[in-house]
Amino acid sequence: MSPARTPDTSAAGRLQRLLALVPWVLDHPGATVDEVCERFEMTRETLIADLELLYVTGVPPYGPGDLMEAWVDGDKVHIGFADWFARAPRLTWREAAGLYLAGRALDTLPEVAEQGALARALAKLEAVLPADQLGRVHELAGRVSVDLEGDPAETTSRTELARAAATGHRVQIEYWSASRGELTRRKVDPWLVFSASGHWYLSGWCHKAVAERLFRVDRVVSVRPTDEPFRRPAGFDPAAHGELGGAELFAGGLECELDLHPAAEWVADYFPILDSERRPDGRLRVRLATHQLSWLVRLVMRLAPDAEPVSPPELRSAVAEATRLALAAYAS
Amino acid sequence: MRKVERLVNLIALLLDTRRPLTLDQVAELVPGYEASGESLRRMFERDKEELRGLGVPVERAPIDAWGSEEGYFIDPEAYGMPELDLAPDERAALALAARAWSGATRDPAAVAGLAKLDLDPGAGPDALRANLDGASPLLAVLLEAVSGRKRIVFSYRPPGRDAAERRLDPYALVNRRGTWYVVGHDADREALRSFRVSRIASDVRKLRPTSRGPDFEVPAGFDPGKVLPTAGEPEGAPMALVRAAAATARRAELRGAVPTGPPGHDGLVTLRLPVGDRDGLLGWATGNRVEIVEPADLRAEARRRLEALRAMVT
Repeated sequence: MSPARTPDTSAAGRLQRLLALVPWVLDHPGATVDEVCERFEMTRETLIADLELLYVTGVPPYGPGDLMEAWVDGDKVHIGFADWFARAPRLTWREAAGLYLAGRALDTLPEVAEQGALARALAKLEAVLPADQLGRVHELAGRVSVDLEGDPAETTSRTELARAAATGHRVQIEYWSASRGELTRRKVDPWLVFSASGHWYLSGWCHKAVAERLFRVDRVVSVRPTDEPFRRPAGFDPAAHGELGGAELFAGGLECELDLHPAAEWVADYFPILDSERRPDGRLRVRLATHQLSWLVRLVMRLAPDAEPVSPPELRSAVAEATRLALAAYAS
Repeated sequence: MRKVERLVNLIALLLDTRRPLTLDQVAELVPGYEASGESLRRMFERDKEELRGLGVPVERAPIDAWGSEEGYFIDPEAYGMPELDLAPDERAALALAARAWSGATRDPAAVAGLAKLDLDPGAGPDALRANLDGASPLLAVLLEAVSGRKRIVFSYRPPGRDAAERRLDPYALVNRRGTWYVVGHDADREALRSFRVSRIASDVRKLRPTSRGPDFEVPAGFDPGKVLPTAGEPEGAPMALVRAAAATARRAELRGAVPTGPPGHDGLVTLRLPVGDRDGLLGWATGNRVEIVEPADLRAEARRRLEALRAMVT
């Protein structure tokens, strides 16, 4: 995971927002405060402060009609006399590069490529980029390699699930349940397929559990499409579901502590840990939460003997029992 | 007068003007340029650079036919984002890409970028989301360095060791399994190295920030796609024999393991699979209660690891 971002309150960040906000409001007359705030992911206070700033700007020396109008009228955002800002500025090379690189990476996914829309959109983007920017973006594309695919087994399931999610059809899946160590068969309404922390997930309604469930796509062993249609719940927000990242996936779970030897410290990067501290003996103590103790037992077993389960006591005893069983196979 | 206001006024003035304005005219018209002489010039240069960084092209041209003095203006055609004429499905697809890049973070610049193209992040019946976290500040600097071929300095904390300063000619950025790596020539070790971006423990600085032009060339034939190990196993790799429960075996089969026959009377399946990464296989086996039958040295190592763990918890 990357370091947490501090909000960009710099002059440049604010200016960038203002230059995009003005044309957007002009293009969407009658936009409400809530709509603008949602679109620009800002608070009402920030929007008001932005409008107050715009209200005192314009074309110097500020003759009649040269000062911008910007205020909240009832619940609507009003911006006027802002002809010179009617269009948003061009993409910076970095914005163009990010969009292009992400687009190319996504277009390697079969379920995206087969739609054709992204390839067409990227071609239109290329057509409007200034020549120097386009050259720089193309050169960079040769030096950034993004593999969203994951391993081949995962790809097959993900492609099937994404197709079913896009067309709104239920699927029958075989799912490997880590807690029970067995394959389960269940019918699922695939709401959203998304990647987080290096794994693909399926979020959807599980008819077996009669509840919303999150599935790891690499544990989906088979997918059988059905012709039963489903609808996502009213007000379903893909953004909120698809950005479950990091610690949120495990929020509210049982809190456990592990002491990691250097060889196992990658765990601190790889899994959404709650916090960590260096112990006097040099090991790294990490605290993490899980909804499935068995998942953590498996992790400790996999890291053996570089991770020591510290707490809670039931984690220690579960590891002891699992180790005893595993060693039985090696007795001979 | 705050800087943002000064810059908004400056853009409005330079977009609106029909002929280039000299620096003195700009300073007279735009509130906030109270300086004069060299400090005024420096202030204006900084503002101009800042605007260019935001994609606002401030241009320079002679103010008259004699070319006696130069002035500044912004060409509205060069300034404005052209209409892309996207069909609804194309718009949704591009929004997916933009969202993947900006990631889960709430970056005003990323949000502004979406708005420039009028891409509604919530639009469309999109059923797929990816997160590249590309707008993270470190990555922005690294992209800049990779693109400009600038040598960089940063403090790096390898697993289990103390952070140390590294100097790198960054050839490429690579994303594998949701993790970003910067790959390049390590100037101190004289070798190709890859660094996990999340282990960079400092800012990333350019070694020669003011120099123009690239600091290095990327060797011909360098392919970032081949830098890190992939899921595929090489031909003729050493093989292992393992015994696993049926459900575990089924998942292993999806990854290329081949069962040697039907499940035994104990319900266990014997599988043959490439050893590949030794530690990877050992971890998979101990973590999934898979018995390693062959090779003997791996079997002994799995047993040793489990015994060491048992000693720790009992």
